[in-house]
Amino acid sequence: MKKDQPPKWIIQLIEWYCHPDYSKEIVGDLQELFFKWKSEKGPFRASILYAFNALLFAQTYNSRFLQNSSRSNVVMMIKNYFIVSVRVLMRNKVTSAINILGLSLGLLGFTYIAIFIAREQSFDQHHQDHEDVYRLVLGPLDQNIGTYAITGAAMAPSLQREYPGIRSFARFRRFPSLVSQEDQMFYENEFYFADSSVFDVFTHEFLEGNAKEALKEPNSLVITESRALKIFGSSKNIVGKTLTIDNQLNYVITGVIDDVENNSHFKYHYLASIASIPTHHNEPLRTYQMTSWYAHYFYTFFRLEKNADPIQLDQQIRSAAKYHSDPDNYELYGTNMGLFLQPLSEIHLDPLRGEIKPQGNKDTLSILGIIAIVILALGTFNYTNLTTAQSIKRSKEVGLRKTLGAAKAQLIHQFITESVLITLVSLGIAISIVQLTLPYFNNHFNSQLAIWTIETLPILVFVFVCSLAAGLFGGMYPAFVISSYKPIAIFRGIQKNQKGISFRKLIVLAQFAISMILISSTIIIYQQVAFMKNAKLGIDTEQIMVIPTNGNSSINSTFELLKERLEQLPEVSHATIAELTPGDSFGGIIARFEGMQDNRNFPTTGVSFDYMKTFGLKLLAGRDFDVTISSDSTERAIINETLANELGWSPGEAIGKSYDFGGDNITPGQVIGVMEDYHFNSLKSPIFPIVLTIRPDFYNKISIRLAGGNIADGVEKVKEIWQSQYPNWPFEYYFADDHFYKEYEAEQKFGGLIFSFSLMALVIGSFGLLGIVLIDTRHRLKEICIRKTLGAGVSNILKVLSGEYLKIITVSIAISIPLSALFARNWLQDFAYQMKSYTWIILSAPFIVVLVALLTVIVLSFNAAKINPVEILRDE
Amino acid sequence: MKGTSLGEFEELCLLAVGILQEDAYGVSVKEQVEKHTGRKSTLSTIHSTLIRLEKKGFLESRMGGATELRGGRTKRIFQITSLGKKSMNEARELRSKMWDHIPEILWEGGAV
Repeated sequence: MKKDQPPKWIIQLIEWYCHPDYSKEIVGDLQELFFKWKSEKGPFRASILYAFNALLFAQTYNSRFLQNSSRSNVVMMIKNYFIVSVRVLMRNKVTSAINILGLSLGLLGFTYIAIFIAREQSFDQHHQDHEDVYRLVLGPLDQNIGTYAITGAAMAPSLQREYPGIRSFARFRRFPSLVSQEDQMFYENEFYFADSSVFDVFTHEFLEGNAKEALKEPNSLVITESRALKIFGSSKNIVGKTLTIDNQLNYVITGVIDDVENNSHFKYHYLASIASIPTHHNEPLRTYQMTSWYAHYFYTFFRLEKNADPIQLDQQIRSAAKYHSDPDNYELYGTNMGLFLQPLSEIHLDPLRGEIKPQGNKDTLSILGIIAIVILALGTFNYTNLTTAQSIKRSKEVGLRKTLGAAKAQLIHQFITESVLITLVSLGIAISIVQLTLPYFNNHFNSQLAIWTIETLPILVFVFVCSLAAGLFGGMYPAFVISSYKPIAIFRGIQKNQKGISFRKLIVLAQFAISMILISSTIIIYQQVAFMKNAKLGIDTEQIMVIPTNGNSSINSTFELLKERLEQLPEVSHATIAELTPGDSFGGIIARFEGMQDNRNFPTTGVSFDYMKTFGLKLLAGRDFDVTISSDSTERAIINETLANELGWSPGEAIGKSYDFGGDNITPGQVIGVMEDYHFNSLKSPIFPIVLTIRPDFYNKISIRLAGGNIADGVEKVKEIWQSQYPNWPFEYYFADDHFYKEYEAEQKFGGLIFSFSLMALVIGSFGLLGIVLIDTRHRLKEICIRKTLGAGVSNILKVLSGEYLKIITVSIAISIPLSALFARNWLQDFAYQMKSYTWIILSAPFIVVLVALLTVIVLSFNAAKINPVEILRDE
Repeated sequence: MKGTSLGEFEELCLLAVGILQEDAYGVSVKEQVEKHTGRKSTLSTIHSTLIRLEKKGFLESRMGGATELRGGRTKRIFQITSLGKKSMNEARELRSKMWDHIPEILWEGGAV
């Protein structure tokens, strides 16, 4: 029934908008057409045509609001303002272009930053009742803040049992896995095991299957629509098919869900039932991980009841760790860790240690926010400046209007209308440029920004309102200056306005100072990144290829054979298998070294023989792990210099010291070597204590050091051997240094952003200067010509013309230097290792701006200075 | 001047009203114009043109002819005024006069 009639709200809209004289016939006519279209083209297209045609009736002749108003004075005056504005714009093409370009650039930067910030703040909010979803995190009790994102599997079920208010929980355990189906094989990084209640916590639409049952049974698997398409070429009739995981187990697909939104803090493509974890390689280890409070491998999310009080619950669970360990164990594990709740929507901008992928950064957002406002202000300043400078030209128009009875308020209206008009034109240009450049921006910064979506609608409205406000403010000052001219003074020819000029100087000053600060910040960011990239790490990451095994037991257990074959190649110098490669984040293990009273958490990583040789680590004392000494495989450790220092030992003293692994008096061990310190992670963090032990259970990655110059050859040889030994496992690898440098990606991107904006600021500033000098020299042409006739040379004239700007530039340098230093100090504080000296950058960066400015001033002044006095003074 | 001249589209609408006689209203005029010219036009264009012609005095209108299909809403039925007829004639005469002035040789030679 509903589809048989044209949409009602459109009828109401027409009736609201149209003059009552016309609305009846219009609605009637449209309705007749609607039925005609419906019979010809179907109800859907008819509705669209109907809406489209109805929209076209939004005209002035039939509006109930605008009837006869076209003759009213206000409308006439606005029409006149509009015409005059367009004429003024056309008359001064260069200054208009400068105005509009400057404002467009400002708005361009502003719009980009606005959509970027909005996007960053939108993370994880597409889930139903997302405000009730919290992540369980760990943190030191004495700091009273959650710091670590990864928790134990045993926690969620017991917390739900013991504390009211937890409606459901979802635990995620990531296992990058090999997914195969008939002859297709894919390494999938977004493979997780999850609870069956996951779909109560995170909202998903089921294309097939059912949310309640999908993950109940072991060996069941839910996949996303995009993976269904990738593997089966269709997203229909998938349920019931099987996929083989790691060439080992078959999983039955029980559901197909829509893909995880891009603005989620983590993405999954496969969800396997958590009950199957024990069967996923190495059963005893997995069972321990599933039941222990102390093995932290899971991301845990809670959905709370509507009436639950999250603050209270957060307080209550704080001490649950203590309650859950028997008293001995609690002391034993020395755990001063407490449990905390972190709201889902805060994860992306407030990331903790152990996040799955790099998240956003609140500080970056606030810096960008400030830059957005500054850039928009620069563009608006330009407008204010140029309009004020040009106001003298329009003084006659103002004089005439005043003589004919224009009130001051009307003149202010006029000039503000004009500036708002220019702002809107600029906004149009800016939005078009955003539209055109967005794909490149997304590509470069690996982002998924969009402009015309429902989510960005409020942003666009915000940008629109801001640009209106900018137009208003930009027009305000000139409007007041111009409208205050006295007609008599104007027609008599007194035109100088001393106050206006000093305000303009102030604006140029501010523009320069801002450009200088941004440029020196850019250089500092780039230099710091370069410093970190070029620093000696103490660990060799070059020419090392890494093949992930993802804890796969069938590869881990046969690695020795592979190693033997690989090391026979002349292209390979060493091969090893380990838990982590440089740039990965460390897990910790509780231990107590000789002489310590309490247990402590020590960053520990499982390695195998030849780890030190492969990564070029140097020993200060003691020896490397030896494959021929059987005790080396279980109870021996190599520590780094920092750890030895912390324990108060010299490298020599440390050798032979005992330690207690797990602090439980069960696994005693001995230090056999002390390594020279090296940077395992980026130079953002200081070198921390490191313990290496041989631990086959944790092997994750094969690292192969290639010898000689021809890397491509080496990779090819390794591939041949890999494929002959593991024909069922695809050969996928990356280089250790690429992986390590990923740690600097955020800084590099940030540097790139700041660079684009400082360029923008510089261009806007130069435009402004260009306009001002242009107008100024035009006003002073007569003065210049008189000076020339009296004998001044070109160089004298140049000095006179640019002297004023030199003063401004000098002052802006003086302002920018301390502010740049302030930025540098604050920004660099986050880095444990900072570049040596940045004084020279701060002192020299302003001169880039000075160069551009001087070039602008001198070229224009030179043109003016060259002019033949006769041409100007002829008329006098 | 602006108020009394007759644009091309205006002329087409006037002619359509003339053809339709008693049944000239928005939709039917649209159909006539589309049928004879082969051009698509939107209802709002037709409507605004008709209202403009009325304001210029070339058309007059009355309400009537509500049908079930229109949800009981009345039509605005247009009729050509004598001023309208006059200006249509003028437009036609103007054209034929100008046609007469085109030298015949231009057509015979075919070399334009």
